[in-house]
Amino acid sequence: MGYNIGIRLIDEFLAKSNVSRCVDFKETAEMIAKVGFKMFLGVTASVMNWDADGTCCSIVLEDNPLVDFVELPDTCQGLYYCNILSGVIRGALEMVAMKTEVTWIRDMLRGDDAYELQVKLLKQVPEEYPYKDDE
Amino acid sequence: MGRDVSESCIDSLLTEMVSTYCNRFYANKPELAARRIEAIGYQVGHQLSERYTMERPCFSDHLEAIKFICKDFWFELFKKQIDNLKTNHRGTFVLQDNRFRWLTRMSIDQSPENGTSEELSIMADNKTMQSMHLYFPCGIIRGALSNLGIPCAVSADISNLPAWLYEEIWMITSITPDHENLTFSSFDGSLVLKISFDVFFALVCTVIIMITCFWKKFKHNEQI
Repeated sequence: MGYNIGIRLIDEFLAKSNVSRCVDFKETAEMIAKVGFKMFLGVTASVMNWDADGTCCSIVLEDNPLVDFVELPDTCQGLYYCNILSGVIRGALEMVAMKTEVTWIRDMLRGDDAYELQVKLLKQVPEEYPYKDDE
Repeated sequence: MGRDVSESCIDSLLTEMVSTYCNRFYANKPELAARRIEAIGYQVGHQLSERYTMERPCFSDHLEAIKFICKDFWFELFKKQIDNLKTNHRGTFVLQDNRFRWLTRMSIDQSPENGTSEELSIMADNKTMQSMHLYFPCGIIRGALSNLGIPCAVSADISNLPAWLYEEIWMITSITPDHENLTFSSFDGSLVLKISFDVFFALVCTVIIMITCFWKKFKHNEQI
């Protein structure tokens, strides 16, 4: 579900935020954390834990409006309640030519102290144009 | 009490929910999808009405509760109040919203110039899609009212002006004591949201409690 939402939300994000093209994945992640989350959820996140290649980072949310009134009951302890967010990020990035994998590392609903999403860039998909230049 | 998030989030979430239930979970069973969506709305309405009536005293009668729905509850949900409220003073209430916020950005397929049978089928598809999106708000209102102690049934109908002007959506809620009179009003193709009250409280309350328990169970099962 989050994926389908993300592929549409990216259009709105790009239209409203008027940002220029990101140079690399680091800038992309910063953009998501600072501008994207602020625009849609009203909270800012921070990016940390970059790995050596610069392809994997963690986005940490201190505050998550999705879970304001939420407590997981005993029957749902294995539920990733906020997984829609990871789908949204994955969908949005796929529309801008990046294949990523987004997983939850820490989740306050399961007893951790913050919300941490790991975003891992799998590959950059070059844009394909449906027409050839010489035709 | 709440926090600000973008409105497109809620629009996307609702669209996606309807699409998921109609196309993935209950692909060829629109009635089941509609019931699940309405049940989700029921839960949401139940909890929202509790939240929004925390500081208020109890409502003295049904009319007060309906007025709360029309003004404060509608305002919290849709940033505006109901445009028109009618009643037959026998348990039927008709709520009319001229510009239903959750459907204002919904486009419909334009009917083709030729072939009336194609036109009819496209219009039928449009109506089905739009009515799918109405089950959730119907459920919300039913949940809210049942939490206020008023068992009821809610239905919605929609009317569109020509799409090239703008889409005007009339959401009319009517509450009738008599189930045989659950016909849509004489507005041609208008959006009629009908709530029907049942005079025989004991029977209706029992049925509704049973259904609520069932739905809660389904909901828990689904979350696992």
